[in-house]
Amino acid sequence: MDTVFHNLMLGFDVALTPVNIMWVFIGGLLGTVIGMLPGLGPATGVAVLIPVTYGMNPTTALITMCAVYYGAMFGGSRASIMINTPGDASAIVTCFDGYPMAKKGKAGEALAISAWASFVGGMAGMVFLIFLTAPVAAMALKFGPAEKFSLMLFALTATITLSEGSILKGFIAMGLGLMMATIGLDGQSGASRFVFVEDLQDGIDFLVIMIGFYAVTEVFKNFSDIDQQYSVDAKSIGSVSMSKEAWRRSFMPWLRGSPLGFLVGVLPGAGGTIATFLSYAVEKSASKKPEEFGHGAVEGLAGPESANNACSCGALVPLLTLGIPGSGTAAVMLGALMMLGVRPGPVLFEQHPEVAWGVIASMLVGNIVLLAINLPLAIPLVQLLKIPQRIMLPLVLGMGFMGTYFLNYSSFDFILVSVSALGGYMLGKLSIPIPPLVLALILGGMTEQSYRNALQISNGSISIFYEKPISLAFLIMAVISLVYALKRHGKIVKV
Amino acid sequence: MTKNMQSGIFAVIIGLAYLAGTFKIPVFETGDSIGPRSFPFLIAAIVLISGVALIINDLRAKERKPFSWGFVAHSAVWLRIAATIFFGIAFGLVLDTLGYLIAMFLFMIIITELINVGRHKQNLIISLAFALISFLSFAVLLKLSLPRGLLGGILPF
Repeated sequence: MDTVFHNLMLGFDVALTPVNIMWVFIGGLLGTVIGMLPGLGPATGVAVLIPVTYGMNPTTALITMCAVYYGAMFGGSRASIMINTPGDASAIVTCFDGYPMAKKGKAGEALAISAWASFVGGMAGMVFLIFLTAPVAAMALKFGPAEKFSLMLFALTATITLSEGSILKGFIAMGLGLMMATIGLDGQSGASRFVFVEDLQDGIDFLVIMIGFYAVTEVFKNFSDIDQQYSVDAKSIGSVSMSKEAWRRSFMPWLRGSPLGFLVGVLPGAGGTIATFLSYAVEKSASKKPEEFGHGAVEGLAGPESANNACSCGALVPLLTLGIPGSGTAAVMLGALMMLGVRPGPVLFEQHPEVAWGVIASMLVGNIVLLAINLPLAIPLVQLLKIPQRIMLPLVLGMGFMGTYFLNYSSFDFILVSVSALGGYMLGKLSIPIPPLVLALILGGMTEQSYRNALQISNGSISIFYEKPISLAFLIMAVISLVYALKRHGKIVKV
Repeated sequence: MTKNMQSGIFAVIIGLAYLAGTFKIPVFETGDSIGPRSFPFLIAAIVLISGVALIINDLRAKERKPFSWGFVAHSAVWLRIAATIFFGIAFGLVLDTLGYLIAMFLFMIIITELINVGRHKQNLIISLAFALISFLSFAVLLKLSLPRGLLGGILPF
């Protein structure tokens, strides 16, 4: 307990510098704006705003990216409530009761419930994160190659099974990601692998692929909808505050939604969508008036919103402690951090505690800042929804291509980003999920290294993977996740 | 052809191409007994098995809905995508020669004209503002290296 308190104080020393507070505010505001825009979620927000972090020290960069992530989570629900169009998939559930509330003339109250629920979920998630990260990181330090390989195998299978769609397509996506990860010089033998052009000698910079998938592909998806324009009547929003009745009805959903969301967030690949739908189902079954759900039930808004933000904290646990991103947004953040020379994982807590704890403390500060942004500025912020897609989309493209250049100052990256964007769009059309591909691309190098090191230790015997208890536990979890998916889908192929 | 069938065929083609590439990886007699081919073989196997399984499952399916890419029905969307890719790559190729300001302005004006059709004045303002603000923010304020290109001798910063 003392150690946690000491580390947290160290974190606050870092987080509460004027520069970092300023970036929490700027990142939170930018994230809120991007998260609010229909079709653009937190991953897009972080991907297009990566250039903003160039020139910063790694701690400030990570703090800024977390603020963008958080801001986008706060902002995602604004569009759901006001125009019945979610900012991203995790804000779909907010439409169910948030929009009916707005239609009844309670838009202001719905915005306030959503902001407070996000705040409570975020704070509760941070408390869980604070107490969980250190022991997980300490345990991870003891992992050998066999444990690391099995852990990554579990992360990959969990992402496949928790992603939407067919498991086989998930495996294809994972395979494609691993294929891309093997391009370049082999780190152990120096052999050149799949290097068709000289620019691929050092491998593929996965941040370029991320910008392609999460910024440019998202714009492509919106090309069919460019004339969409939403009307927002500021006068009908009313006061952005919660009534006593709303406070009373929100309390228990927050208590249930926060831990639930956090737990879902820790699982690789699960993400906010599953967390919010689960929370909605829990609230509906716990309610004495389930018939109110879908017609503006406070519980249907408060529970999922708190689960969503707690989930984003949960996703940071595997990222910070194991170096394994728990969501698409966390994957983009991991890429950006590696570019800045920081490798998240157990060593981060040991060698750079000021970075790890500075970020954690900044998120506590960020939560308060975002509440302060989202309550008084709710009405001016929702006015941004009036900006038509045909103006926003070119700006996102501009940011994406500009960010691509900053990564390596290479014109070849523009080919990579364009091809990956087209690939992402076409894979989406074929219902091949992107998250397993992205995770495999990121973890591919480490997975192979652990696999080869483990086999070298055991003289080529695969028994090393099931003779070590922790490794065996991860393998069992991987099998369980596959069995769960088979039960959930009923069959392994879905269109 | 259904979506699953197309996905399966795609996976098999990619898997075979990757497998062929794996055989071309040079193997050195160093201390690494596992070798650089071992892991790629596993990957190729995963993709090939998944692809074949998808195809078999699709052939067995009772209901087979044909899938269309919509190249004709959604030709405007595909044209915009193709143009974005073309001009995105072109932007990268001319960036160093023309300089960031000119290249970004040209890229933005083309993209805005593609998306925000017919609103020339609006597009001009957006493109100019984006190029200028991003240049000032990153090259001047954050002091990041951006090519000056043709305007190298004119720009005061």
